[in-house]
Amino acid sequence: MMSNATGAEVSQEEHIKEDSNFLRGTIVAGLDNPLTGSLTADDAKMVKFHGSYQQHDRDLEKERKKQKLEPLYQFMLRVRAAGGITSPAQWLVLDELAEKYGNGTMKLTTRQSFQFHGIMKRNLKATIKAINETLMTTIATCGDVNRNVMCNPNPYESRVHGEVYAWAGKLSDYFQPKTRAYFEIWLDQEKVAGAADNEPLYHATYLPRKFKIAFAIPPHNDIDLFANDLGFIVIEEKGKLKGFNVCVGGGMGMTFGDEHTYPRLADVIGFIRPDEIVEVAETIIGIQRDYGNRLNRKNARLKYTIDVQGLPWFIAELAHRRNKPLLPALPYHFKTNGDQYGWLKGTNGKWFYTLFVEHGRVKDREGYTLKKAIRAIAALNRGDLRLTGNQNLIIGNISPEDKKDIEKILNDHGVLNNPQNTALRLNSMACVALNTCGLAFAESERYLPSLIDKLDVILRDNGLEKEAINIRMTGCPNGCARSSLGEIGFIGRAIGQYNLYLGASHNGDRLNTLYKEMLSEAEILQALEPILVSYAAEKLAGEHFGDYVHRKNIVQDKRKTGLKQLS
Amino acid sequence: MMNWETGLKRGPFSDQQVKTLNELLPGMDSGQVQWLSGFLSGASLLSADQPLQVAQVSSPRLLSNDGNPVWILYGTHTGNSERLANVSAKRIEDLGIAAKISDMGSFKVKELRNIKRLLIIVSTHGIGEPPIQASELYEYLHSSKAPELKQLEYSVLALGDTAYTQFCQTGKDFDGVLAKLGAQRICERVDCDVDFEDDYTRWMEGNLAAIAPSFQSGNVPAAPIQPTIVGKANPIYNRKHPFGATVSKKINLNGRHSSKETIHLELDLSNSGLRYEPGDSLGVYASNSNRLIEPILNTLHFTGEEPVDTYKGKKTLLEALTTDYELTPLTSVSLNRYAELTGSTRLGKILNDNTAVVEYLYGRDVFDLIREVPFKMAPEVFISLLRKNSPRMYSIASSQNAVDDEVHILASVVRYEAYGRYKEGHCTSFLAGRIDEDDQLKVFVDANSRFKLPLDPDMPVIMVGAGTGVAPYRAFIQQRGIQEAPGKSWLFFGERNFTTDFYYQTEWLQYLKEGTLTRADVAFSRDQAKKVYVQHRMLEQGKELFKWLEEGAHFYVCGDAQKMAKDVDHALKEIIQTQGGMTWEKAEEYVKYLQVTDRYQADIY
Ligand code: SRM
Ligand SMILES: Cc1cc2nc3c(=O)[nH]c(=O)nc-3n(C[C@H](O)[C@H](O)[C@H](O)COP(=O)(O)OP(=O)(O)OC[C@H]3O[C@@H](n4cnc5c(N)ncnc54)[C@H](O)[C@@H]3O)c2cc1C
Ligand SMILES: Cc1cc2nc3c(=O)[nH]c(=O)nc-3n(C[C@H](O)[C@H](O)[C@H](O)COP(=O)(O)O)c2cc1C
Ligand code: SF4
Repeated sequence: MMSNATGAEVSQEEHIKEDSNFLRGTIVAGLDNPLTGSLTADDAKMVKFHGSYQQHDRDLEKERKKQKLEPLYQFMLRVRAAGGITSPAQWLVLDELAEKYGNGTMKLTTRQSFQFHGIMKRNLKATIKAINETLMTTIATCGDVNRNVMCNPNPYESRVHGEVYAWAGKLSDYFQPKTRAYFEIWLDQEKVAGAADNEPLYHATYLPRKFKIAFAIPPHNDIDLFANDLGFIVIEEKGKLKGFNVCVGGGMGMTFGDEHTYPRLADVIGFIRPDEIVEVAETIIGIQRDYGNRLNRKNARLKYTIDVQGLPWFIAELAHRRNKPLLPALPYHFKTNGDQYGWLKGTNGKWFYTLFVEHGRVKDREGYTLKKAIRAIAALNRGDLRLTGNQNLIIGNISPEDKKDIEKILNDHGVLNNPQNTALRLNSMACVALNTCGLAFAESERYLPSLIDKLDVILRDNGLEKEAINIRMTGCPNGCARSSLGEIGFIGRAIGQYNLYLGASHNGDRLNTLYKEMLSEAEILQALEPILVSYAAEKLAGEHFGDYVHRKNIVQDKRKTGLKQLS
Repeated sequence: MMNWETGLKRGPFSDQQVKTLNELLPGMDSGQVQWLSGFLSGASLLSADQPLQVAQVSSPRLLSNDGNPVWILYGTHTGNSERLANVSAKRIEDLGIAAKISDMGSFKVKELRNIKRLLIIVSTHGIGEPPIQASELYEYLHSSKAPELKQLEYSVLALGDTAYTQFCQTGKDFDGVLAKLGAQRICERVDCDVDFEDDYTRWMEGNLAAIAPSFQSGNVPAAPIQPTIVGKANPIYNRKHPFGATVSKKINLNGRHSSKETIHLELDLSNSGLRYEPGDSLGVYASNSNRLIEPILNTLHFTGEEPVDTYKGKKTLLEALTTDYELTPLTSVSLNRYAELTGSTRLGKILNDNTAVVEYLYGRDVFDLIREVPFKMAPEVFISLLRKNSPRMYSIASSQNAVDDEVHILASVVRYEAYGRYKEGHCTSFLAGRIDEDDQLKVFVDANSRFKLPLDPDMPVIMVGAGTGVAPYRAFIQQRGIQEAPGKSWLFFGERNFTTDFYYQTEWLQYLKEGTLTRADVAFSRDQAKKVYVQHRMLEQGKELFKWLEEGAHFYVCGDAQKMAKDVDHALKEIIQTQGGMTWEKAEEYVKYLQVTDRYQADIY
């Protein structure tokens, strides 16, 4: 550990940020080095702020080492779409970039972004440029800054959706870093002479850790509001936006064997009017900037800042900085955190088709040419395309007379009413994990589909095939697919071995609990089968699986709040 | 500067020898050292395990029959002709006749008029072209300035390779032009294939018999031609007696989805006594695949069980075809013999037209020939058409000082489609598909005195290689790493795709990090719309490259001879012209100077 300019001890990462000259580092020189497909270790950290992760194809790691080739370095690129909406024209550009520079697929993420995988260093700049030319950006989709702001994508039940979407966009833009580095490095914009970079909110070392904001419009919690550092629950009154309940301190990540890390759901701390939202968010980010842990990145998220200082302290500090307290929170009710599939009519009279995209991976496979299908739909240039927080896609704002065309395309490509899409599958999420994620211990996206095939047999045998059980898997405990909020949750421990968690609520307001550790596939099926059999026999009317396992004491949630967990 | 004493101590010298050499060597300038090195590498051929008789070669004895020395001029690229010239000089002098030996590059043409007897030993390179150092003499003799040479008696030994259509072309040309200028043959020209030992001996004995009437064939033991230096107890391994080396590692260096397949082989030379130096090549013998043998046997209605007499003794036809003869590629010699045998008018017509021959041979193998012109013949007749199984050369990719008892090579696998069939290279398909780790491979060391690191480790080196052309540079850098050579080094490497075809990438990155390699520039032709090759990278760095040359850098090019080496040569001249501010002619002279001072060396194929 080292100390920073003010003498406090900080981690190595803090120095890299401080020395980076507002996120420039030596990225430009690194991009030009033709001898390696990688950037220097420090630049690899900096390039995250620009929206890209340096990765390598982990499937080929051993093989290439033997071949005296460096790892197959490649870059993941995350494209932000505030609230997850893109125009058909933008979609077509992204679709083509995936073919031209990426691995031919697109990943719709759990935070309503696009990800490209497999971009070679030499193509990174061209890709980022093309994305910006279509009026999208990758800036601050990663790194120690506020990320893409999530927003409920379902406008059909709420008149306030448009307004909320605008607020999400506003916050998303407002909290973007102000450095010119991005524009100089990727977009060839000239250095502005004499104009020093200035980050009025973030300062030279940015935040201690990533920061996530989301908006939810009850009764839909389809963006998992409580998993965010800062969440806004929309409060409507007579079809008008009244304001927001403010929630703080959510986060999914933990580290095995480190009890000072844990998933935590956000606390609801009060209510604000719409015109207060920017100022409140900015103040909260400011508190995290000043009090977040800069020595240990594992304890640097807002959830730990709050647990270390105490929630009352946090509420007081917020009131102190704003010179006024928050108003008391208003009642709200969330029904589900899943998506509703198929056609739904919006309040504007247009139609919205929610399409299941297994684990968000948009690609073509034999008999199921999803990528081509969406490309064909985008080529019609009608409506828009929306990403959900559950890795799915909404074909939005379709006039009634165009519905047939959409259906025909989906049908022609084997996408419509695919019989494999059982209720369990439709309620599944998996993170990327292997072969690109450098942190994965086990498979996730590439494995969960086949596990679901096997679980579906059990469900069918027990008449549960229509039951919407929320099932989630991640390849490590970082929880990118919010596995801690699955009624059935899996977290990878090693290749082929998973911890099994049970009992999250169906609407995202209760975490699941560890049931069994280090299970192989056979052991997973063995462990789940009797529980599912009994659930089929003994469930109450409308009782969700997550609630059932609690009622039956199959698991018990000993956590009251996160507070007690940090000694 | 190099520490001679520690260097010598690593060598096979006694303390006393180290002391004596150390008194002498450090005082020499680099030119002297360079000369001596070339001289010794020639002389060592003669020595095997006898003490060096240095004086014999340098001072002609006065026992010559008419007082005129026999001149030996050689034109070489990879050193074979030079080696034979040295052996010849020794044999002539052993008969008490004075011999004078010179390479064609440094030979003064005005001497020609004074020479009475001349032996020419010259190889063919490129596509039927003279070796670079022979080109000036070659052009002079073919020009209008060429003198009458009525006084001259001469004889030509042509080195070549029947795999090339223009077999021994340069030797043939020398032979023809000297006759045209009025000179008389001592004896007929002999054209040698890659296994030239026997043909050489025949030729030399013919010469000796004519020069020294007292000479009787066989009364002088043939000098060993291979430069292999062996320990006393060990058998001698050479082209004729290859060593069975165990494959300890075999790796395809191309990453997945590459358009190429390039095999890195590590072979165990333990107990072989084989020694090699960076820049040398390894000869490898392969055997034919059943994929090719079977359809040939079927077409000719042979079973493979037929007994045949081969140059290796009695065998079954199948055995002979597997290990003793080549079935691909088709050679002009085979074509000639087959045309004669069959009396085919079609083949006869082709053989009358040089370009038609080239065209016909390209992409064809023996199976194509017997399919296209069917002919019924006995197994032995069939075998008599074929080329003897000849080794393929691979630039050694390791330094023995770094890998001890191993030798590494890098082979690019030849596969193509021609005349309706999928085809593969004789040797590389063997390495790729018919040999595996723990198998044995028949190999020998083929020294190349003309592709060597500068003796002075302070000298900068510029190494240009495309594809497998990078192989010897791995040996160079391993060597310079062990030597802790202070001289700068610069690698230019080119292939198709960065991701999959960057041979030895992790090693180069490590050498760069350690400073053993000073800099590297790479060109991957298929990674962008516009094709980029090594010569483009050289031109981009022209200023720096010229600076290195001016600092005394040695320049190397290795790999493809057809195109790459020519483009690199042109780029080099262009750089010298622009950066040195000189005319094209002056730039060519500059390059010529680099060549004769051994600062521009090529290992191209
Ligand atoms: C793509 C995505 C998962 C997906 O399958 O959709 C994802 C993928 C990755 N996440 Fe995540 N995270 C994704 C949503 C999440 C979420 C869900 C959410 O935000 O609702 C979480 C849990 C919430 C949270 O932040 O606590 C999440 C918690 C993490 C963590 C743990 C953070 C922590 O403080 O505990 C890491 C590791 C880290 O930051 O050190 C991480 C790191 C990563 C990285 C970048 C791995 C890395 O750092 O090298 C993964 C890239 C894998 C790859 O090959 O693409 N990701 N990550 C999601 C992209 C969201 C986006 O568009 O921005
Ligand atoms: C000094 C020296 C050093 C060498 N170093 C190396 C080295 O380090 N690495 C290396 O890989 N090679 C090296 N070579 C080349 C090597 O010796 C062989 O020539 C090469 O490996 C091919 O041998 P082969 O037996 O597989 O192919 P062969 O059976 O000899 O076939 C080669 C022939 O196939 C034909 N052919 C090839 N491609 C096509 C096509 N597309 N269409 C039609 N016809 C085609 C051509 O006639 C060609 O001559 C070196 C050669 C020399 C002389
Ligand atoms: C790149 C290259 C091209 C060659 N071209 C021919 C050729 O056109 N005709 C031929 O008969 N031999 C050709 N050869 C074979 C050489 O002449 C043969 O290897 C000879 O032994 C080399 O002798 P040297 O070492 O004295 O140069 C070629 C060899 C190489 C490496
Ligand atoms: S949960 Fe772990 S394995 Fe999965 S994408 Fe996130 S960091 Fe990678």
